Amino acid sequence: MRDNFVDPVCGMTVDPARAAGVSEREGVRYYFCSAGCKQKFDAAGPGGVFTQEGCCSTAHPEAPPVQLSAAPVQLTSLRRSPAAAATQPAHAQHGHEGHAHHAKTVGAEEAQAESYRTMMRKFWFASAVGVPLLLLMFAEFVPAWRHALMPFHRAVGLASAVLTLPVLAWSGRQFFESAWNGLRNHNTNMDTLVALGTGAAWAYSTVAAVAPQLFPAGTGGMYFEVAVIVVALILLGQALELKAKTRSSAALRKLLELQARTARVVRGGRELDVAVEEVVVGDTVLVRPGEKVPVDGTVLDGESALDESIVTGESVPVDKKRGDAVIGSSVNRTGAFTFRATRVGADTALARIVQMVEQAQSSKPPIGRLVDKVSSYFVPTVVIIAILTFLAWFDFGPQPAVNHAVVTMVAVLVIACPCALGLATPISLMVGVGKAAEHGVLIRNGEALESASKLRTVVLDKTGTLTKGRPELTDVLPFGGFDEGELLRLAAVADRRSEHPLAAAIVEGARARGVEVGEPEQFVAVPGHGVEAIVEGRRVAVGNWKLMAREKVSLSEFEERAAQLADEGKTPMFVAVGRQAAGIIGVADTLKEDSAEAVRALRSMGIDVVMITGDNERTARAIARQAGVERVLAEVLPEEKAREIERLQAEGRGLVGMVGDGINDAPALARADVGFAIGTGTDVAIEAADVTLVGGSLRGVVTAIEVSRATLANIRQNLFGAFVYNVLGIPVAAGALYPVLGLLLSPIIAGAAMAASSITVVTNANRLRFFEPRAGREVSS
Amino acid sequence: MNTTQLVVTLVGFGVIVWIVWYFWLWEGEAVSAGTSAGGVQVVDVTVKGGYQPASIVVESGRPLRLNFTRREASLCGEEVVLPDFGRRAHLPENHTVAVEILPGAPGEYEFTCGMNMYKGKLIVR
Repeated sequence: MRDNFVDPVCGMTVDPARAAGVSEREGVRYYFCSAGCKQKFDAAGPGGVFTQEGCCSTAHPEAPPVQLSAAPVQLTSLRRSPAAAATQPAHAQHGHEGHAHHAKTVGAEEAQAESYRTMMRKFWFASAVGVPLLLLMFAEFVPAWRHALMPFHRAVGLASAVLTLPVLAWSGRQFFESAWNGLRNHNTNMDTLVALGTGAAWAYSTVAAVAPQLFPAGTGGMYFEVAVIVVALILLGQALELKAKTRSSAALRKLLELQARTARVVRGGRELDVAVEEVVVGDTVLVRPGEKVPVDGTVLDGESALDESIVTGESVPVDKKRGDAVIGSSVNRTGAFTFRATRVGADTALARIVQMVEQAQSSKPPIGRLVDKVSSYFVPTVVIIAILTFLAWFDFGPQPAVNHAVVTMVAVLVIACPCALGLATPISLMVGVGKAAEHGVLIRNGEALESASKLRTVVLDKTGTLTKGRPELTDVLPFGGFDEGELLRLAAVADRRSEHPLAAAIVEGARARGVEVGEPEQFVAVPGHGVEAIVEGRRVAVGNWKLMAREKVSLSEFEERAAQLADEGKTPMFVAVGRQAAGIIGVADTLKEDSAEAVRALRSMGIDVVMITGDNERTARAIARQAGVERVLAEVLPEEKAREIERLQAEGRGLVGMVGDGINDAPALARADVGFAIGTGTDVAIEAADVTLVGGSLRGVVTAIEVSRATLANIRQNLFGAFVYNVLGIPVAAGALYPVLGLLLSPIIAGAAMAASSITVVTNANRLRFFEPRAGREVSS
Repeated sequence: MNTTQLVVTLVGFGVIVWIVWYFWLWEGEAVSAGTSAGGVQVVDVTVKGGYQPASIVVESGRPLRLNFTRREASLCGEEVVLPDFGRRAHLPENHTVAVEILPGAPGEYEFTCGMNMYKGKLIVR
């Protein structure tokens, strides 16, 4: 990565070599795009705040002046060099960490993207050399072509040796380096095998090309293509793995992008627009309707309704008045207000969610890398077997002993190269993941798939996951001479101009029931209470208990029915006409059509189903009853969800999955062994999750688990096959059949055997294509 | 068996013995943890084809900070696991990641890479 810097005044990226000016302050060097920027910076002195706009724009020669603030401004965080990012303390706690953190995340991502591109370039280079060689090798199997190629055999060999050397030296460099590093540290790893196998293959082939007379008849083959193709395939695998990881860290960047970028603060009696990083604790911040709240704080003046769904996941706006707490990144719906900033930067609720997601992601166990778990014993064992083979042939074998010994040793090293073993898992995964995708279930990686097959508990978020996530009209209970139609019509007309989701549910519900919803003659929204309107010449009030008290409407008639509605998990909206109780309208977030069926299917698969929600116990129980869920975790604060998941994991009854849709579910989704995001949910939840259910139906969870179980069974078969192949293949390569049958395995045949085992594995994996999940059948029936 | 064969065989077995010793029996020199001003034990561990140092002597009951720095592109050492302490950390290349634990009862505790190929140990005294 280039070591570029950001001009602290205008925010432009500056190449130090071309900087128009340099200043040093407190041991940190700053580079400037123009002399003007440097001048401003020097003039501002320590603690200067720069608005980062306009300095270089000719359209605004009179750029906003430099503003001075009492707060220390973290100019160093504007340095975006990798060195600066690396020196950031891991858990530094200061007000502006959010910004530095952002830079760090972006830097790491760029570095990962760069390694991906490099790996792919190395892969293409290795393939470009390897594929023609592979075709040439196949051509030798056709007798006529073999005959035609014969005169050029040695020339082709020598050319191949020269061509493949750069592939090993450049594309394969990391394997040799890693093997060497491991050797120096008394360690072996997968790279050791790759380096030994490809290195031995190349060296052997080169000797065979240069001095074919040294080899017994029929063993002087060359297999440069083996060396190059192995390098190419392993590079491709690693590049794809890296790409999957880059995607997952994009979730963090998304979360940070949800923040407001600027804030309007009142300092010294003046309103100033400043970057959100520059808001300090104690600032008075002004928020107008439609704007995002920049940081956490307490309302000083004004009233409004705030959409906090970004953090809490609850779609109903919350009314705020003087003294109430507001959460950064929530959206101001109705009124303007001012608040005092109490938490900024890394301390805000949103920043803490980011930290939790990050923590959970980095602490997730990498299960499913069965092949990679080849312990440190495998490689040295193979090398020892190869040496023993060499010695056995050298001491007891027929003449020419040296040649036989070398051929068998290389054959052992080549056959032990874990290609079939390496192919066994990814190929089944590819088919399994594809199968799941056909049914609207997107599985992020192999780990997720393996974990999903082992799930014993599935935790379901209530709002938006089990339920539709938006209120709907459910009950109309008229009193005192009103009939259902009239009550609904009056309430709907009164609510028509209201923007509140509960009111919208009543209006929509009335229309769905064929009620003509006209215009009210007068309308007043009473924040935190409901609405008052004049409809058809009558005074109509629709709202909560507080509104009824304010209207002085007797509540005695309401009580019993209201309590009953609440028991069923519904929100009662009271309607008064002319200060007389007219009825109750029930509004509730109802179950999705197929939720109960999905819960039943999960339980029939032996999985415990748990519901988690921030709602009160009564509402939660009501929904759980309808869905058929027995275990309920109610009144769980958003930030507690991840901890509840941990608690379930600690119960030791196997892996725990979590299904959710909101940003507030993101930490829990990342913490769970498998996180399932509802596809209709927020992007951040989807990014934090391992599995995305495109259709938004819970049935996808059932499908995901079924497909993963089938895939895992398939992988086990493949691994078993590949293992058997290795156990049988190594002795044969070592020449165990020679004394009996006079059969000596040429490394070329070892290569062909490897291909055959791969074909077996691929064929077995393809059987998965015929798998039909039960949930899929239920859809079609 | 002629002399050449004898020599080659002896060399071969010599190599095998060396492999067994070098990869399986070898124990690196144990390094003792330094102590910071705050009373925290601090050890810098480089991840490059293994852990350097691979054996670390620490004091029981005093917080320990392991500063891991991965200095290789190979993905092997990308994750470090301390199974006995239930800790796992992702190690980006050329970044230092601090893992803090509280060593408890004296004994030997292993730490490994995510695939269990690099191995190191904490010797708690």
